[in-house]
Amino acid sequence: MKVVVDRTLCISNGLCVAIAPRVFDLDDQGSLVVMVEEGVELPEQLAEEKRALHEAAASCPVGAIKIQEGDK
Amino acid sequence: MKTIDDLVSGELDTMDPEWWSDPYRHLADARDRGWLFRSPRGFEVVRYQQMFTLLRNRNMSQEHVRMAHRAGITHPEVLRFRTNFLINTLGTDHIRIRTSVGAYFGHENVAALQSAIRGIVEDIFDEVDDPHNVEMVRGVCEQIPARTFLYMIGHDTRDVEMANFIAQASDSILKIFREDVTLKDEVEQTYLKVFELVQRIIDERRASSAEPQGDLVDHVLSAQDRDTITGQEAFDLIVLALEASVDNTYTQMVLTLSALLENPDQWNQLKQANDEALTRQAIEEGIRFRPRVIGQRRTAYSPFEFADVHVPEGSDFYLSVLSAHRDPEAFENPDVFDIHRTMTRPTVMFGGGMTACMGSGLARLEMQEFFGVLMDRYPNVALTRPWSYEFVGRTVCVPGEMWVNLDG
Repeated sequence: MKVVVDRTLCISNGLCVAIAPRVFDLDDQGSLVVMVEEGVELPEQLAEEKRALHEAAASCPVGAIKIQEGDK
Repeated sequence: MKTIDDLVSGELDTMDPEWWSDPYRHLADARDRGWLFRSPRGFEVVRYQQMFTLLRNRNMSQEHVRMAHRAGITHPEVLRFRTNFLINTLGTDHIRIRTSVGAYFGHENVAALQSAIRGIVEDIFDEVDDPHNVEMVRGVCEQIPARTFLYMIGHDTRDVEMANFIAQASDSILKIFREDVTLKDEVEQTYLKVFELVQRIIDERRASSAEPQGDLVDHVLSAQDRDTITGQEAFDLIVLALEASVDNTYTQMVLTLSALLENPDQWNQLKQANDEALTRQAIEEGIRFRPRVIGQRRTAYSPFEFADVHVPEGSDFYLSVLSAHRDPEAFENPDVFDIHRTMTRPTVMFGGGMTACMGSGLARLEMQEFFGVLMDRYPNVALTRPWSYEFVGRTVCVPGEMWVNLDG
């Protein structure tokens, strides 16, 4: 599973931070920080975050978070 | 350390009616001189970049209690709502309440509502008596979010009387933003009727043995059952959904339609393409070019540092959407309405950061389906009378009646 965020859509409303705090954070200026490498397979230690990541992507009001499964 | 006052480039006389006769010119002049000004509304931010950053600042929030007082509100139930509702809630409580309905307003669920919204729009156009003489604001556009709200609460979307009540209630409640004490009674009395309606909706749903429908009421009550939110917060969320989902949505729809009809070449290109992606682009351009919400008020609820200066607690900001959306540093040729514009920066009318409008995806979908049906059924739609809009209360753009011939 890979995660990619479209920064031209992101409004930094922080829902994803609340849902998947091990993957997303907001910096002091309120800008989104993705704490994994985007477009790269999620590290093994975050495997249990997959459900939260899907929920965060589904809950994003602007659809800025894209989850890619497998080789896609 | 310097304070925010040291960054002020001058004053903006936004109380002067003359200023509002051509705000774009005054704002362009201001942007040339600096990004921060003093106005009767506090610190006024006119450039996109600083506004974009301040909207996301977690020390800033909307401040609705003082607004309610300025609007003359005294009824304890109304004051309680305006004090405790989501938009006025800070920090972790804000995120907790917002997350409880995040899945409902998230883009995945909103996308699944597309066919239902399309059906609502088709119904409304079916009910038009005389396609050659239609007042779009009340006759069509206002009905779309009002009936969408009925769908959100599991009510019959063809109940015209109820839809009219929802539309009228939203309109009356949002007059609180005008901060006009002569409107106090209208605002308070409407709130009380809405409270009664929402309580009835909740009571009926609690008493029902039917399977959950996955609508907004189900989402909210299920969050209450999981103890994510309290019963009062569940109630307040439904009231907020009603007040926030109607006026701004239909007004933006009308404002975007006006820009398209005033630029027939753009409308022709849009309808010839009849493509969802281009329609979404046109909707975003309409939001940028002629936004319903022309400014966002924010207050620093705790001190912070910004642009190397100290911003004291209690500092009031007015973030000018009108100006940010015409900032050439953010949007090339900003005074041109161009549906083919590729947005490299997000528009800011729906706010940003923690308090960004949670229904913005739904509002965009309603607009998309409105323009979709209009292009399919009435591609030759044309204005039949002059049309205008005005800026009211220095916070919103209000359209006048819009008479059209749907068949051109």
